[in-house]
Amino acid sequence: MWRISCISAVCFVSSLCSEFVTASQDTIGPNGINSAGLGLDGSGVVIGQVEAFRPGKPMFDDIVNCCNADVKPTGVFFRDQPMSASKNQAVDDDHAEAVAGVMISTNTGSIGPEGTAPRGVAIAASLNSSAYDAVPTDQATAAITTQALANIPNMRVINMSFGMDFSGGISTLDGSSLLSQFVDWSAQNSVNDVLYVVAGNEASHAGPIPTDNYNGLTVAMSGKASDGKFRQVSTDNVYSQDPSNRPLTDLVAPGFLLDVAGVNGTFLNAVSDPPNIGTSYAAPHVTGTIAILDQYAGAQGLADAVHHQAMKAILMNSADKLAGVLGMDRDVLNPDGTKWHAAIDYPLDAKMGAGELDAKRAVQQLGAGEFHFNQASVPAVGWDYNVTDGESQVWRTHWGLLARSEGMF
Amino acid sequence: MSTRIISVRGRLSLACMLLIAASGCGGGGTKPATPVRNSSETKVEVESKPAESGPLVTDQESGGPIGDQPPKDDAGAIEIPLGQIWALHMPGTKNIIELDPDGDYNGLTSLPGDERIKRWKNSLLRQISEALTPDVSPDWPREGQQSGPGFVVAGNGIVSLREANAVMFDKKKPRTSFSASTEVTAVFFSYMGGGPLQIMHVTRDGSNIVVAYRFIMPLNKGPVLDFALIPLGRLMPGKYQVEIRQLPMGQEMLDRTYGAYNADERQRSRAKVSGLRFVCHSFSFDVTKENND
Repeated sequence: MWRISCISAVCFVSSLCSEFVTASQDTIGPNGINSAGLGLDGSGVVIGQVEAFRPGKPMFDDIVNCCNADVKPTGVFFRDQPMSASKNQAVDDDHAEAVAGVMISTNTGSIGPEGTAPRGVAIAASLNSSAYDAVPTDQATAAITTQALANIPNMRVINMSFGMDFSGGISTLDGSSLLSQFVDWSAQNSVNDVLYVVAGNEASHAGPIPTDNYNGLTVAMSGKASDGKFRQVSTDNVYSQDPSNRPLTDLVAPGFLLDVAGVNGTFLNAVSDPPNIGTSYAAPHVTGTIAILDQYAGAQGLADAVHHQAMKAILMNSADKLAGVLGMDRDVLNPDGTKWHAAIDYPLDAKMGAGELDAKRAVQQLGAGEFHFNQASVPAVGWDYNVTDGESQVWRTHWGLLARSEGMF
Repeated sequence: MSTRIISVRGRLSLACMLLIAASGCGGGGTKPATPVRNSSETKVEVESKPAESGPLVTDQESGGPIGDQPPKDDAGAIEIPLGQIWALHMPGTKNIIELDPDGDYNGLTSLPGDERIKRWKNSLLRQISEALTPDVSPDWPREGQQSGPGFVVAGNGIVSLREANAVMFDKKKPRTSFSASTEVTAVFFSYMGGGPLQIMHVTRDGSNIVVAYRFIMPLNKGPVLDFALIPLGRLMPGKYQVEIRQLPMGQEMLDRTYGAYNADERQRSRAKVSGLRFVCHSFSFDVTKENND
């Protein structure tokens, strides 16, 4: 139904660098996703977080080890219940706090075990966090929880750093599980139009649902290569658990040995439980980046960019693959050390997806502006959110089938 | 995460609690290993008296419990209480961070930043974590590969931690032969990605030692590594087999809303595969009369 086209090329938008935001955390600096220094902090953008448990909210939750003063969600929920009923309920002690911190931590001085001060990608975004707190196969409760967040006005992106196991007689990663279908349905329906960011699969035996979504972004994790840049895809990612070998990775983002916040000013580390490693922390780098892209789109009047399809296309199109090509500044490496395919237009790699998240390139491509495909002259860099009647038939049919099978229409 | 912490010892816990009052069991005391009559996987009954054994010896460096004179082979199965095991993140065990305080990064907050990082980077536990972590450890088992065996080191407490570090971080070849006059400690580990798990019980019946563990299913994504030092004390000469045995997830999981996992054969199968891949395997070692230290 919708046509998105992004054309990669070198593009410089001078206004992007008008303000430098101090950020010492490697993952948002030049070694990481390159979001620091863009003058963007997610201000005015509503984002969400769903997990088994939720981060504490300072000055609201009051149990011991509930909160981190640098991580302040705007709203906290229990399933589909508002925060007024959820004080201290389903508060996690570290994982949810760390995930939230990647998005909104305001820390500027406290140094973590990797030697940097963890600061969120979008520290001024309005984060709403909810806990589903149900058995790992209860996908319906997770979907209801997520739906409540998606219904918050202007919700743009929801982070899902959890995985559920198969249930309902479904045991393949083909997008037919309830929660995966919910993600696909909620993303594209006109009420929500939310982009879902899902933590990719790891070697641990956490469940793989909904990494087999179609309309969200599934994120694998990277660690530092020998030059100190996050560009080495971790061996701990699991790329496919389906006999059909359906690709499950859309993007790669920093997730290995990070400085991430725990409660009470603590840090996760290599021997803590959970450790400072995981796709759980890669995903919110993408979520935070979407927040700053939305902020930028709003400021520039790029109304169509807020649609989940446009945002997804821009993020994937701007990912780094090979240094020196089309403005990319790093070679992304497979777990075995090999580079991206010789052909830059190789569509998706099983292990690297579209490549390593690069917020700076994403803002550049977004900022190039929207140009309708039937214009007489189309610049080298730009995008289009529009209607076609060719390949779109496949999309429309697929979404319809998914929604009907779950009774969502 | 605290939500993973589940009391699992059941009858053993109760018995051990009684022994704490009577003999220091489970509290880091110096009493000998506790005998059991039945060492089956699901029921471990603990007698209310200590094993027949020789006088106690205290590790001068760690102050922790160490082995006794070699127990008689006919003494029946010996339970090594969880309370004598040093481990990361395992309910009922002693927190191994106490042996290596620098391994607690968050405990170093009073230090200047550079010193804090330096102490953390040099900590024995952090270095051991490198040996168990994907990407930084060449030994981390990739898909289709399996973990290597556990091993035994000489000593107890901090001495055994240093020895384990030498094997895992410095790649020193583990010893397979020890003198009967030497206290030994079994090293149990699970590569990051396998856990979280917990040791349920450790028993020794003559020369057969069983380390029984089970996985605790995580709700969130997140790899965890596990590591434990199991003091075996001084042993009689002979060849010892250490069996690393995976137990099924138990009733406690059902009670903690993990029931669907337990009923799911596929999940069980995955846990079994995960155990083979990430958790150290069974191994053997020799104890000789000669002083080969």
